[in-house]
Amino acid sequence: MVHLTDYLKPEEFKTLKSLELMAKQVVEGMITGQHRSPHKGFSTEFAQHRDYVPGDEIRRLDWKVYAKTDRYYIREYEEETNLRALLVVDASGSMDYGGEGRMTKHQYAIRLAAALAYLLSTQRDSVGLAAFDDDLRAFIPPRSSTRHLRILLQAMVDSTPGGESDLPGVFHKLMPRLRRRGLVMILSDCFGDVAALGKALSFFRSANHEVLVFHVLDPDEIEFPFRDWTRFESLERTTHYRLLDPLQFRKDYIASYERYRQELLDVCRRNRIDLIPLRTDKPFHEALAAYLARRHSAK
Amino acid sequence: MTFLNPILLWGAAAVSIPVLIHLFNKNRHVTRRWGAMHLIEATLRIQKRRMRLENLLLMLLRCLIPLLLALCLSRPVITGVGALWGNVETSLVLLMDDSYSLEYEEAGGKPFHQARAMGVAMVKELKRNSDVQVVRLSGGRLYDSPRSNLNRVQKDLGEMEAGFGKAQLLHGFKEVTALHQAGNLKNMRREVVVLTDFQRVSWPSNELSALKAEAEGLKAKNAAIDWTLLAVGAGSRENLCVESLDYPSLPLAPQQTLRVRAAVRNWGTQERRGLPIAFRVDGKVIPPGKTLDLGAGQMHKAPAEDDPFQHAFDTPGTHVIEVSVDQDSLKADNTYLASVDVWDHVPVLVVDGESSAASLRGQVDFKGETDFLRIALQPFREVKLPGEKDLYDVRVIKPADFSAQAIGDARVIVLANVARLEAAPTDALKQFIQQGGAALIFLGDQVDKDWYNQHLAQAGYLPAPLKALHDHSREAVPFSRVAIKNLRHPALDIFAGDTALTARISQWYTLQEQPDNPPYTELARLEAGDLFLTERVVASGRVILCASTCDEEWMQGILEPYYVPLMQQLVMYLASSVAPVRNLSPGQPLVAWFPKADIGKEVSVAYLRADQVSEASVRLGDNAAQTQSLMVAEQGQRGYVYFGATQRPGLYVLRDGAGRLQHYTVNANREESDLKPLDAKEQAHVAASLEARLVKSVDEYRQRDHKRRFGQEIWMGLLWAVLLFTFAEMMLQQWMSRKKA
Repeated sequence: MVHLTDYLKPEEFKTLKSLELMAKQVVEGMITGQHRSPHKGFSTEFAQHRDYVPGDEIRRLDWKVYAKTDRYYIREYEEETNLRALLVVDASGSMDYGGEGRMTKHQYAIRLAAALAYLLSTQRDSVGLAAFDDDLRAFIPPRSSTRHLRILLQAMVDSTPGGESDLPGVFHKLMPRLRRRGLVMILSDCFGDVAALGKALSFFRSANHEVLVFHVLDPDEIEFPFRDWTRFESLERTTHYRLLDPLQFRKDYIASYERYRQELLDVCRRNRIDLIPLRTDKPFHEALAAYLARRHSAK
Repeated sequence: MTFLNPILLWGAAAVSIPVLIHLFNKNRHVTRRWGAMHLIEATLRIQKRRMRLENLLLMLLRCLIPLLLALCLSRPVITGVGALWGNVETSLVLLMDDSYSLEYEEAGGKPFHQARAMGVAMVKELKRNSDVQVVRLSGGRLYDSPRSNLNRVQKDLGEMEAGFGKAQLLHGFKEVTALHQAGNLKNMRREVVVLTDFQRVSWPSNELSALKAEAEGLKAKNAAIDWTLLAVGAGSRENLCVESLDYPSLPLAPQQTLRVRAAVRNWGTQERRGLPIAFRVDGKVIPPGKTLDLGAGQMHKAPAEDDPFQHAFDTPGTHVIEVSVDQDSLKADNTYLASVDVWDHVPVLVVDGESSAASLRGQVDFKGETDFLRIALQPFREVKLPGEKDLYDVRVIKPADFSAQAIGDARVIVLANVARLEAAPTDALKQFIQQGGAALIFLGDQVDKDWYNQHLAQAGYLPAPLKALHDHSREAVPFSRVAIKNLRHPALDIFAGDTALTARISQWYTLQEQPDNPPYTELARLEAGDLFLTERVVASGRVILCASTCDEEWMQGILEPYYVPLMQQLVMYLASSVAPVRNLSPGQPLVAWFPKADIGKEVSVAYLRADQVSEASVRLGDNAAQTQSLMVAEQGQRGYVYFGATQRPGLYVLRDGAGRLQHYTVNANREESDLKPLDAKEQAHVAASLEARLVKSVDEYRQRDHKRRFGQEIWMGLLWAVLLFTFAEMMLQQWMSRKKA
């Protein structure tokens, strides 16, 4: 049995509970909570009660329960979920890199994905999962039930990094499966052809999906801190390696990284996609919190 | 290129260290599984060419540093062309300037001593089996042929002395040519070193072309010779010298007053006042001394003409006179020596062609041809003046009695109106002249012109052939006076004073003159235009021919004051010319004659430097350090001694078996006293003209010679290169580190 706490540290769990994921734009579907829906007056089947939180509409209070218990509860219905979110997790070989004493990028990504899934599910939003390397390895359509969260987490645990990454190819395959507009959250190191990636991302945008890119990198990949001669063996292609003196290489590597980062930023900015840089040595919830705060203020 | 420490060249293997370190580091890598390969590939694409260049440069520097350091420690020597010659057997010719100017006492010692030490050092550095010849620029060689016993050469060089006459560069160069032609420069590498003080007088500009021609002549003969000019001495200019002596050139009689003056020159740049001049006779100072004021560059004769140094000798024999000015650092030219003959007896043989019975008995009846001549030569005997002794001892014979035996000890033979001689007496006469004897020939009415021309003139024993008898007695003025031609000649210089040669000649033989290159010297000519007195040098002897008679038959005014001095002077001049030359120039052989009885006996020659001449040394003729023994050789009817080693100025004392002394002096030409050297530019010009290297000091010679012979050590340059490359490596490393940072 998978438990959420396997993937979240207590402080992360606590932080996530207090966060709200605010949709930036109106999504298709019925919304009865904080999410405004273009389909008003559409009745739904009762699903459950939940505690009232400031901001909930008064008219959604279950006054009968209040009369019996003297506590505020909000009535929720099955069709009330208004956000369809898809977590797209990169499981290519490059994600298997982890610096000294740190988790791998893949481990970091699925932790973040778990946190996001939990957060969305607590808001009764539908959340799905896509795992890929050079092909789409797993796809779980968005659902909002508690059981569905466990399915998602199990799928995350089952995914192991390997193979070459092909983000544009995978995105092209993914597009037909997203029949309704929603939020696409990509958790990847985005290694590859940036131009092609930009093109693929533009397809999401043209389908009115909101896209978030969680750019997960290990600090080693940013700072290149090595000193000794090193044989760098590719995690994606086993026969590919380079023997280098890192001391002589570092400055130019960092310059190359900066160029790559800037290209990626430019691509995202052109497609009005938020790029959230994440380092595996930083707690991901901090970066996530900062992002949500920025989205909240943008709304 | 060669290496002095070739074993350390193995250190060059250190060049592999940077490569090995590089390979080691490369192999000692860590393996890292890496995701961002696309960033590495992108970076590699950018930096590949630049990094490779930088790394190659760094690697090159790191390899060069140990390599150069190893080279540096192994002391490489660049030899270039010299390598072909380096350390091989050499034929070395040292041209040693041994003139007296190198005896100058200066702070660093005598320049000649410096030159000597340099020569020794050069010989010492020669490879075994090399050979050396030393040529004295004053003349001569140290060895007959080059010596390969280098230790012996060093010893001989170390014992060489200077103090000789003028340096003759051309002689030295010709000696080199002669050595080459004789095959004496047998080694492949040949070197000539001229050790000289570059005195201007020794290197006259007009001689340079001749020197150059000699050097080029050798070059044309494929004699590859390295020429080096080594300048020695500081080149001081201050010098005083006694340049010459004025003294009678003919022998003196006892108690005859000798008058001496000296020419003193100040070659320096400072005026000298109150300069003391000393006069010595046989090593003993003759007072009073004199003083002299001399401006810079001036020459004066001293003492004054009316107050010369004077001396009268008591005893016959040779005597040494000297004048000295000892006030500077070059002693060699401060004293001028002369040997003076004092004779109390001059035997003269007179062959009378028209003798009377009385004259043959030694009496005078004025019927004989030679009566007047005999009275002129021995006046005291003829007038029987008691207590007076004639210098000349005259013996009169008939032509028929003339023979080799009859000549005896005669210094001069006088032929007076002799018609002819038989064959044997003619040969005896010729042999006498040939061996250094002197003859005075008077003509007359008895003379057989054809015999004279055929037997004497044709054989070169007459100054000029007889042409014809000229009779002037029938002219309006029945005589011709003598027009003196050469008053500087020792035989006639007596007429330069108050006494006039008033002879009037009524008849004479005209002589066959030779205007171009005459074999005779013209002493006097008649106003009529014909020769009167002529002189000819025949081998070692001398002949004077008078175109007229010696009596009043053809010569008028015999009782006038000119006759006696003329006859005595002619005879004395001839007698002295027969005597050995006492005052020699450097290298002129010392010759002495002895009676036939002395042939085979031992004699000795002692040498004394001018400053060693003392009363005792002159009297004893003894200088154990430099005395040579000789044998009296036979030459015709006489004993003969020849001594050629007279290169050094000074006094040579010849002692015979009986202890009798003869003094000879050698005075160098005083040109050497002008110490002015060529300036640096002129020296460089000389060196360039001769295609020679010019070195200024012993050290410079050693350095250049070492460089040429053994090459140039370049470790210092390499060390600088190591430092430079180390610095460059450091800078490149830092620059690359900054780039990394």
